[in-house]
Amino acid sequence: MSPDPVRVEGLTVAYGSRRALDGVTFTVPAGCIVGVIGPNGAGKSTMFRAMLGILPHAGAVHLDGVPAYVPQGDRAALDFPATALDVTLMGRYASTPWWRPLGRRQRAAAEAALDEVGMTPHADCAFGELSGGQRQRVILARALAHGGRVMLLDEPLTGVDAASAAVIQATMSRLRDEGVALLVATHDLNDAAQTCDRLLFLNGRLMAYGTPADTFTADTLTRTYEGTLLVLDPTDGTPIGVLDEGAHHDHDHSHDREHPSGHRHEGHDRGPPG
Amino acid sequence: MSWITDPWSTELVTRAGLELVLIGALGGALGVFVVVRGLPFTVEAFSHAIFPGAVIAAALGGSIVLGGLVAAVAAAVGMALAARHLGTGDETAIGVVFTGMFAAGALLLAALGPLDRDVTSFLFGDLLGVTRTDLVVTAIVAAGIGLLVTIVRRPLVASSFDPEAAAAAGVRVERLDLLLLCVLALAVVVSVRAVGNVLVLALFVTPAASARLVCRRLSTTMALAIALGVASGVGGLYVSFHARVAAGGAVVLVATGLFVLTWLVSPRRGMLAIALRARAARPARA
Repeated sequence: MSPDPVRVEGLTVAYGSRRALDGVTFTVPAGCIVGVIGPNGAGKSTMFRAMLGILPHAGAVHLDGVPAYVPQGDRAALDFPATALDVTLMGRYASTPWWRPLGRRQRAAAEAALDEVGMTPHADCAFGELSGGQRQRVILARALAHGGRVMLLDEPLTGVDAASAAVIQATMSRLRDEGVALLVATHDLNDAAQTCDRLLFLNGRLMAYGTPADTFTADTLTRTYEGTLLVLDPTDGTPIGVLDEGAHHDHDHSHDREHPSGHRHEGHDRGPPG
Repeated sequence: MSWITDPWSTELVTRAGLELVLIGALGGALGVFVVVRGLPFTVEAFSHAIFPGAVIAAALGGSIVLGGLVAAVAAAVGMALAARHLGTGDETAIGVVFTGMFAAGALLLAALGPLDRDVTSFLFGDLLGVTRTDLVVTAIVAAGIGLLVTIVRRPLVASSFDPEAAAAAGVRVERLDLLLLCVLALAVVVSVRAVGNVLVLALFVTPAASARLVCRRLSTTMALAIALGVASGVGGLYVSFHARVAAGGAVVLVATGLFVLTWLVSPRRGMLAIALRARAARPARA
């Protein structure tokens, strides 16, 4: 039996004297989507960057190959002279020696990736002239062209339109079915509980990790967000309850071990995006 | 047609022309990365930071190019370290380092007294003073930089577009940034000799900025930037020869003219195209 493609042991990251991440340990099996959940500043992006080797860290990270990565938001240079296909081809750079031109095989892989995210009609469009959702699809296509058994996606659905979100989610499901291990940072709690196989609650340290049935509880949510949670009715969005840190054991115990239908967290925003 | 051939009738001007072709191509190629990475201020800084090295080299009777290069590389490392370890922004670090070095050069020039060699030509350029050796050095530098950029083109492109994703894919982004700074420093040093440090920035910005107005892919942007850089150099030489004006200024004005022309006629971002699109979008009168 092959080892899990993602194994993280005691991952610790410090910015100066402040520990942004403290002793995080978990494994992700093949064919699994893990939703990484936590408030801003909880260390989600920090954890991804440390796992990718971008940030200095303590602890051990074992990944099966170089992971594909979808960074958070519009970090790419929008005025960079590149078409959607050029950007997707960047996903093939790491696997192509410098002296070898990007040949038909690389181009076909990039075109297939663009096709999967529905961007073939825009392949020759300048990247900077695409909409935000289209750009995010192209960035996902770049990660698809990169390939591999591990993919990290940092808030891939933030700020994208419904059509793009559906394409991105369908692609993630397809990758899971093909045995890829995916970690997806998200602020959409309901969506994470419904679409992810496991949830990893983070707030500087690992608050909970397991299936949604085991972890998506009022206790975990209030500990993770350190504040008040407003529970909304999923059908019409009206408030149906409030979870307070410290008070949930008294009057909200009924929410434990059940899936609160809708949550809007009102926890403390702790500065830099996490 | 003598006005075409006349400038090439003397070896002096022919050497100047070849030098301009080389640095025009060099500036066009590297200029694309200068423009897309937002490094014009860095190039400006290099052109000033080389001054103390040139003064010391002139005083010691050594190569001014080598002296300038040592100072430029020291400036590149100093700027990178200051930006990283002092917590200042890149531009702040650049501003501190290059003004400090230029001031040191000015004081050194005053302290060392009148020098046998004309250091001021390094500031304002001396195109007609280009020797065969200078030309060979420029050719070697241009070829070396061309080879290096070819080798690191993919990591360079990936990190210029999205540094974080490039780092995640295994690119040593900080090392690559430092390498690019050193390459830029070297290119600036060999270019300053021809057009002077006041105008050298134009060679690394204007042709690439013009090409960026027209092209949507990096490869075509670079090819057009090189062509525009060479055209600016050769065109400037003709203007300088026939109008009897300073070559450096003529080269830069031709580059600027080509930029304005491109800005007017660019199909996507040009003034004419924008005006035509606006006219087409206007509702027809009944």
